[in-house]
Amino acid sequence: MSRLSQLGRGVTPLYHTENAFSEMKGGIFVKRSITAWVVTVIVILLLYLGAVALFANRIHPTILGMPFLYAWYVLVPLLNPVALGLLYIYDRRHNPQNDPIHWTEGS
Amino acid sequence: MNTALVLGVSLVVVFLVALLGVFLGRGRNKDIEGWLVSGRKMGSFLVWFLLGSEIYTAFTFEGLAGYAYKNGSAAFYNVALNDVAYAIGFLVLPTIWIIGKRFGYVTQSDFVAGRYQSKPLGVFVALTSAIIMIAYIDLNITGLEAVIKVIGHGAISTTWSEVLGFLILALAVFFGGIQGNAIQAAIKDILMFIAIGVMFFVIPFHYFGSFGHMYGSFIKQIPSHLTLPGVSKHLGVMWLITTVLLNGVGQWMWPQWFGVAFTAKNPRTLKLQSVFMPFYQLVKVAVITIGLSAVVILGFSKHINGNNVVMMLAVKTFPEWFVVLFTIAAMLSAIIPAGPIIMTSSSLIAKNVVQALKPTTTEKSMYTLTRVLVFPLTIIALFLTIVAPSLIVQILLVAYDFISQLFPAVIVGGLFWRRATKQGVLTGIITGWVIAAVLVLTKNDPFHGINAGLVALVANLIVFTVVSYLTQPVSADYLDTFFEHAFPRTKLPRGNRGPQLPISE
Repeated sequence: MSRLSQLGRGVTPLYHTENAFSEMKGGIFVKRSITAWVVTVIVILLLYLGAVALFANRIHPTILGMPFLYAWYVLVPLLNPVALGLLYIYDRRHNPQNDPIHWTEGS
Repeated sequence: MNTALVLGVSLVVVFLVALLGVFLGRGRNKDIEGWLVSGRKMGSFLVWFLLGSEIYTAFTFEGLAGYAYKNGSAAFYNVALNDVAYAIGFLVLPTIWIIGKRFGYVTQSDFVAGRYQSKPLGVFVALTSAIIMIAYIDLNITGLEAVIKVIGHGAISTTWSEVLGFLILALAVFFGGIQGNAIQAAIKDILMFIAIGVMFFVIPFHYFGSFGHMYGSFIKQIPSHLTLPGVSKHLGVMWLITTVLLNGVGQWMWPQWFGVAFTAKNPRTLKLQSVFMPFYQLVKVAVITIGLSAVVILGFSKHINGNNVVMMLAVKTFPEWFVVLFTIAAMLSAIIPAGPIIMTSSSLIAKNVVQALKPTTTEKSMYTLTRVLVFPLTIIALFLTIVAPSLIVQILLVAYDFISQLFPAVIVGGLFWRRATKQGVLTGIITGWVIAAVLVLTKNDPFHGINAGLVALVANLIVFTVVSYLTQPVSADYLDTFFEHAFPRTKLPRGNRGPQLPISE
């Protein structure tokens, strides 16, 4: 175990004392990252399932000759990486989990 | 070229691929962490193939085309469910990775036992999921059987080919570990892409003239295959939604997929996987297209076993030397993905059952036991498939619904709801299993149009919540330490982060 874990609970580690509110802020950042993630999951559920319930469960109009439902299921796997890519960019900036200090101990 | 030769050549290639994996993968096998999760050092490239291989098994190659052949557009559930799972995995897998890294967890049971501070709960989860996983190994053996049946025209003993195929696998994982399996998976995935890609592009031109003509004849000849519920009268939109929800949350509950999360070298690797894995789903759309085209080309008949349509089309369409490629890809996709399943179930039994019940077991003998268990587990799976196939069918019917019942324990309580207790987890899981088993085995799935597993999951969640409120949770101090790194309450200032920071005392 490294020195970080010996600091123990309740003791504010010295590496971020420059900001008295940083401890509080960290919690907010985790919450924001979780919210962004939940929103993305809901968007993907709507694309795949909400769309089928509302309008995509049909053959016509055809798209490039493809039946509509089929075309929808070709389109959505292409949209998903965009949604998740945006989440990734947001997450990289804001999620404190990404600080290696949280997981490089001992290696 | 005769069929025995095709199968013989394919088995030799399977053996060579296994050997290559062993040769390149054996370096990390000094302890269980190296053997089972590659010392948490696997890079993006191999994790991608390992995850891909786990998710795109013989089922994708043969089963999904067969499902589309029989049930039409209901098959799209399979495209949606993995993508929902990747989106869920985006935050869940890295968080579990961080906790696993800190406390040295290598299995799902380790995580559950740690979170709820309960060894017995860990033993319970390990033992039951190991049993469910044996049924899953059998699914892969059945996939291999389908290949041999179609190629061998019944002239070759399926039993002996299955035994041979899976003993090769047992040896490969015993010597090669997860690193070796990931390399085998990469070869298998590439061959499968080529096989499916060639088929997807050749079939429209060979049988219909063009893609446009193919879609045109779908719309004219098999319109009931193109919407829900269509040809499968009981699989409607509500079924699609509930099935995707259940299996989307359930995917990471399979211990072998959960375990892949531990192999990555950092959380970023896992987040990037979530972004890029959805592209893989287009392969599934291609497979569904092949299944739909089989309805037009082979005709729609109840006498054709759906699992065989891909191989039937391959044999009908391509010269024999090319069929060898299909055979190899299909065989590998039946055999290789079973590797992590066997490894995970043997480690669950050795580490989370035997060592947990008998704490005097040393790390070294537990590791030896884990590796040796690979053989009896493979033999049990083979034995059950060959001797009691109808039992396997029954178990498989409920396996997915059963494994998804771990969702409240592992994700809801495991990561987010601190008030969850071990009693809540246990009663919830048992409630879910009883309801799922009753509904599925009395043929009430879907239940009023809703996936029976989801009905069970809702009941599970209710019991889980109520019982948790009535019982004593793990102490807040313990949970603070448990989640300290996963959900840090602090954030380092930007541009001044990383392990190089001076930590003064």
